[in-house]
This record gives sequence, C-alpha cells and structure tokens, in this order.
Amino acid sequence: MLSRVKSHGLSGIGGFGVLVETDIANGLPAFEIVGLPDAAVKESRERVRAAIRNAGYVFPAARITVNLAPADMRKEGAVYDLPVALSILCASGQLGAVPELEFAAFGELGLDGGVRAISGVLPMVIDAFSGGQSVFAVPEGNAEEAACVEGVTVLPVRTLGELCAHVRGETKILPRPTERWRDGEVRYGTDFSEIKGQQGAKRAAEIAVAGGHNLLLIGTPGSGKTMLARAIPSVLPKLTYEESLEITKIHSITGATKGAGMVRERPFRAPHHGASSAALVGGGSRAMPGEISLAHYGVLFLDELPEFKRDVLEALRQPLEDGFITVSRAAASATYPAEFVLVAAMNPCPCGNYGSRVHECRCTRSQIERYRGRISGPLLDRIDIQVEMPEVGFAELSDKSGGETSGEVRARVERARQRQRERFRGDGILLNAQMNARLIKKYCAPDKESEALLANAFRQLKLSARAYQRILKVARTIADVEGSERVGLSHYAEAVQYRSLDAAGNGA
Amino acid sequence: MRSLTPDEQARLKLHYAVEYNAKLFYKITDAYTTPAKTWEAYTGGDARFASLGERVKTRLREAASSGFLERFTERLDQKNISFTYPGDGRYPRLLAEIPDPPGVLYYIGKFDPDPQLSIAVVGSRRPTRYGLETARRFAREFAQAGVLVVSGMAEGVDAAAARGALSDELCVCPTVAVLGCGVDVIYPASNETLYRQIVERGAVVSEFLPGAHAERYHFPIRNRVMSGMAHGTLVVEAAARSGTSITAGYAQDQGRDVFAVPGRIGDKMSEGPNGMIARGEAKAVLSTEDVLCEYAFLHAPAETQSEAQTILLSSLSEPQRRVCRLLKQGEFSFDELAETLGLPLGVLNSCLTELQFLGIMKQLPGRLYALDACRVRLKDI
Repeated sequence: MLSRVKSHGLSGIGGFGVLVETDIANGLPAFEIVGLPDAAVKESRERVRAAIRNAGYVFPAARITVNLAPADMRKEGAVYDLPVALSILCASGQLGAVPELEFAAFGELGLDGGVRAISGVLPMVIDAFSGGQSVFAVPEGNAEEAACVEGVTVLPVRTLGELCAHVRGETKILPRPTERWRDGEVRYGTDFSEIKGQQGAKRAAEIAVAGGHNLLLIGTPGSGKTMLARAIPSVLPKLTYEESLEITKIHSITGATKGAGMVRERPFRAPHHGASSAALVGGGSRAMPGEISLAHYGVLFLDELPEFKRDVLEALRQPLEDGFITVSRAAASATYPAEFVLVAAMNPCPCGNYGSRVHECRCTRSQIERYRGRISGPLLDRIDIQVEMPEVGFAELSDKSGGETSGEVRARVERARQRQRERFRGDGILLNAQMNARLIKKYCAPDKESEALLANAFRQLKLSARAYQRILKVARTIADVEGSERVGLSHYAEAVQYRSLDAAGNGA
Repeated sequence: MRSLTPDEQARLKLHYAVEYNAKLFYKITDAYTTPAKTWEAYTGGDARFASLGERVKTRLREAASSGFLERFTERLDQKNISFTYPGDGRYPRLLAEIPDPPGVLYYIGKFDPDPQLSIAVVGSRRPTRYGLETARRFAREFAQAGVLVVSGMAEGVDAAAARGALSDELCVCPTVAVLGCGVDVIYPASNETLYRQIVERGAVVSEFLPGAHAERYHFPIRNRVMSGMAHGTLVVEAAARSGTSITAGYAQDQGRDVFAVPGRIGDKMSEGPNGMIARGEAKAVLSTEDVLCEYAFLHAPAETQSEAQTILLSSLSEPQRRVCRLLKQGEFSFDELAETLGLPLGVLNSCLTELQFLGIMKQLPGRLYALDACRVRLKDI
C-alpha cells in the first residue's frame, strides 16, 4: 500500500516542498528512509517506531520504504518525524481507507508519541503558503509563530495520537486563529531619556539611525557606550508587518522562536569580541545565519571593536555594503538578508583613559596608534559617524532630567526617513547611507560657501576621498533631520564633527 | 549714544571747560571726589571756582548753559566719536597708570584697551630713507607679533610706522594714532588716506576736544599720552633736541622703557637715538626681537608667536562668540558646552567645526574643546 504526506524542507530562508511517500510491501521486516536524508533524519526511524507503538498503534512488521521527494535535495533535522509516522500509519491502513491529507505536517516526535517544537517553521510555512498550501499541522510549540502568517490554517499538534484521531475524524483539532498584526507600542529595555548627559552622542545616534549610517562610539569606560547602543533600537522606526515577518523568519531558522510568536522588537545583537567569522556572518555545514543576519532590521553592536579578530571585521565589509550575505559551504549555500545599523564601541586607548580629565592615561603614543590601527581603514571608512563620548560628570549623573524620550526622537527619525523615501522614489534606495557617487552628486552637491569649508576640512583633517563622500551623505541626513530641503553650510559643518578618528589621528 | 551717567555728564562738561589741562582737571575734581559732585558744587556757586582763570570760567558757564550737553553729544554721534575716561573698561590700562592721565579720551575706531604689549614708535618728521624704511619694517613686524603700535600720525617716522603696522592685512587693530588735535581733525592734511585706514582698522585717540585744531604747544602734551599708552618707546630717527626726545623723556619719567635704533654717526638724524644709546638712556635695538625679548614675561618669544593671528570676537557670529567667551575660561567637553550655552546641538556642532577651521579652537582627545592660544589671540572688542 502507498501513502503520501506533504511536508516542507528548508534552504536558507527559502524552502522547497517535500512529499513523504511510504510503501509497505511484504517481505522481511525492514525500515528504510531514502531521499538524501542526513544523520538526524535517519535517526528518526527509531523515534517513529517507538512513537507509533506508544501512541497505541501498531508498527507494521513489513518491508517499509519511505521516500522523501525530491530525491536530489538534502533533508535535514527532525522535521520529518511527524509526516513519516503519519505516512506509515496511513499506508498501513490504520487511519482508515488511505485518506488524502489536506495539511502539510512538520514536527519532531518523542518516544512517547509527543510532538516537539522544531526550528524553521515560519520560513517553511511562508514558502509553502506561497506555493498554495494553506493548512499546516505543526507542533504546538510552533503554532504561535506559524499563526503569524495571515491566511493560513494552523493545527497545533500535541501528540501523534491526537493528529491520528483528527485524520480519522474522531476528534477534530481546532485550528489556532491567526494572529492579527498589532501596530502597538513596543517597550524596549533602555529608553533615551534614561541616558544622562551625552547629548552630543545621542544626537549622533539619532542622525545615524535616521540615515541608516553606521556609528562608532569612542569613550572612556563607563561613559555609557553600551547603554546608548542598547537604546538605539528604541528610536528606530516601528516595525511593519513585513519587516517583522522577515526578522521572525531568520530567527526561526535558529530555533529562537520556539514557543514564542512573532518578533516584534527590533533585534539587538551584541556578539562577544571572541566571535568567529562564521558566528558573525553565518556558516556551519548547514550554512546557518550569523549574527549580522539575526540583527537584520535591528542593531548589531560590536563592543571593544579593536579586540575583534581582524578577519572577522574584514568579513563585515561586504555585507555592510550589500545588505545581504551569501553563505556558501560544500553542502549548502544560502543567502540571508543583513540590513542592520552597525554600532561599534571602543576605548580611546588600551588603558581606556586617554582624554580623561579624572584618570591619567599611561599608554604611549605608539600603543595608542597600534590599538587604533587594528581597525582597518576600509572598515573605518564604512562607518559614517564616529563620535567621542566624554566622561559623564557627577553633575550630569545626579541631574534628574534625561532629555527627550525615545518616542520623541523616533518621531523625528520617522519624518527624516519619510523625506528620504520621497526623494529616492525612482532611485531604488531608501536611505541616505545607500547613496552611490552619482546620487551623492545629485542630492548633496555643496554650494560655494560650503565647498570652501569642505576644502578646508579636506586639507586640515587629511580626509580620504571616501571619507569626504561620507561627510556629504551625513550632511544630507542632518538636513533631513532638521527638516531642511537644502543642505546648508551648518549641516556640512556639523557632519565634519562626526569624523572624530580622522581628526584625532592627526590632531593633538 | 548710550545714556550717560551723571558722573559722565559732569566729566564731559568739566573736561570741556579745562580742555587739555589734565592737571587742572584733577585739581578741581579731587577736591570733591567725583566729577558729579564737582559739578554740583559749581552749579551750587562754590566760592573756590572763583579763583579759576577767566577762560576756564567762561567755558564753565558755556557748559552749564541749557542744552549744551545735548548739542555736544549729538556732535560726537554725528562724527562717530566715542569717549572713555579713567575707570572705564575701554580706557587704556597703561595710560591710567601715568601721573596725569587725560580726564577724557576721545576716539574713533576700535582698539584693545589692554594689549599684551604695546610699543610707541616715534621719530623725526623729516627722516632719511633709512629712517622711513626702518620705522615701516619694525612696525610691520611688531604688528605681526601681535604688538599694538602707537604712533602720532605726524609726517615722517610716525606715518611710516602706522603704514607699516597696517601693511599686513591679517593683523587686527594693529595700531593706534594719538593726535595733537581733535580726533575728527586730519592733521597734517596730507595724511588723509592714512587717517581713513587707521580709523577703519585701528583707532585715533586724543584728549583734545573734537574740532580742536593742531597747535604747536599741543604736541608735547600729546607726547605724554603716546609714551603713556606704551610699554616702551622706540626712537627711530631724530635730531638731538626734538619732540622725539621729549617723548623719550616722558617715557622715562613714567617708568617705561626707551629703545633706540642706532644710525650712522655723523648724520644729523642719527644724533637723537645714538646720543640716547651713548648716554645709556635707551637700549640699542637691532631688530624687533631685541624689543620683544625684553617683554618675554608679557609676551611669548616671537618665533613661537610668529603665526599668532588676532581675531576680533565681533567678526564672529553670535553663537561662535558665546562659545569663545566660554572657552576663555578653560577646556570644556561637548556636553558641558551644550549644557552651559543651551544652543541647539546642530548649531553648536557647526559652530565648533567653523571655529576649528578658523584656527581659533582645537579639539582635544575625549571630545574636549579649548582655544588654540598658540595660533590666535582673541580680542573682545
């Protein structure tokens, strides 16, 4: 007897339909799974066997062949436990006269017949839904994320027995209602108003976020670099449904969304400086997403930037430009989106006290230069805004007022981004940071007066041509934040202030 | 014109009456402690005024007539004349230290009342080519080193010194001319162009009443103001007995230094300076450095100052001025600036960049800002 059960496979954040076919023939009892399964799929034989028996059904003593079609795609993980078990039960006639199942099933089985949550449900559901499949039987732990997709019917499955009863028509599993997108206020851990002092750095952060620029914070220990970085997601524009779905998809692949619904907050990822390049940009035999993809539409915070290994930082360069990363491995290749605001932080010198008025810096000039030299020029060039954060004095700490709340800042950021969207309609980009040389010329050409100032900056700060272009872009964003159509002298002048490292490099 | 205090009103009237006679001015006012009280005493018919000379008494009556002050100040305004007096912030600090400083000093233009260093350059009205060139070169170098050059705007050495100080376009308020006539009178008339230049980029000052013509006896009186406004007086070329030697004598009496540029012995115009050097009255000076090194305690040596440039606060925008005034007190971090000044952050940021490129301010590690004292000096005029 033959049966077919629909399921789905995952590759990157996309997927492919999988058909689980089971044939039960007479012969010596055997159980084979074919169709390019990996070790985890092969092991599912033991789980399926035990689960069927413990769910109160009979595991047929016959020659069982399970095929996962298409046969040329690699199948990974424990996704197929549930469809395989279901398919065997169908083929052996224990669920009635070979029913045609309307749903696609995913799930890992426990030996007792329980169904466990798996990773990657959301991207599979989305992919299958776009292929026409609309009913899904998913582990109960994944039901919430699957129900994010508007229009699908999700059957939350607790045990194999429950699903079998549903197929046989004895007890129906009630579909989980799909979740409506709530455009509500999200509370972030740190609000802008909680940061005392540091008005200058907060302004820099606002500009960085408004134009999608990357930000480098330089400051003595305790000046609030990490706190500011943590507050940045709270001033990013509110997530839209599509963005939220995309973030959830990526996080779902790593299994982070098990038991949770959609990701509604802008992600904040802060990998440790010991991280490998695979951890950061993605990798492993299954080409899993790295931190930069997990920070998609959010903030990637690299604290102690010079302590990161050089090859790790260099690997960041290409995704910073492109906004996506293609991870290629022998067995798999996947493309993940990686549009994030890079916020990096570093001490001004190895001991951390350079420029402090309280503590003395004991570093020699060459030590400081070596420390700063660890960040390569090309990477530094991709960080549009560099700002020094002075120490916070007692007066500021004890001062009760913290300034504007994140909500107020976000309102300005959203207006600035709206202005950019209107300007770039037809140019194929959304943010100032993405402008290429041609667009910079078109939208940021300085007037006579500003050109004199920039020529001065170019000479005195010994800027590179690339750094010059960055100043033009940042000036455009400052004008947007201020609500000005034209980029004026004061905007360029302010933008020059955000090249701290260039200035300090040849000043002092 | 700003509204005048009773003291200022009385001072103008009394000074009008006694004219350039500073000694008499103090003799009258010291008896009543303040000018205002003096005037009150006069209008009250105090007997002591009866002993004054006829001319002074006539002028006092004139000053007391109704509407006098209004007419007088209106004339000052028309001609853009300002005035200052001992105790006022605009009064030259050095001048206030001499025994009988002018009770009122009229001026047109702008000058630094308390310069780091000021040198009077004096000499003959008919110098040789050597004298003209020396005066011009020294004055130019002084101005470039940030020294205020004081001269008398007479023909010859005085005019050459003023021209020299003005010849570097970058120098700000490099010279002050002390006149022997009213500040609105151009004497000698041939110096009209120079007068306009001085008024535009420096100042002319005088204790003589506006409109007063130059008289022979004015010049010795004027000379004490020249030497009084300067830390030192430099004699370039002069005859043995001349107005220049009077000025040098005043400088000595006032406890100021006298310098002299040596000339060829035998030349008539070298007799003045060479004689002073020979008698040990003046220090022989071969370059501006010889003068500046005397004041190393006031004024950093010229080589470290050579690029120092003077910038007037009034040439900056309002927010820039506020930043500069604050930074005069020391180093400030960005946040302290923002906090203290209360400027919008965008404005503050662009201000800082502009000040940085003007060379007025530098950024220190830790986002601290400070004035760049090695490169510029600010004058709050």
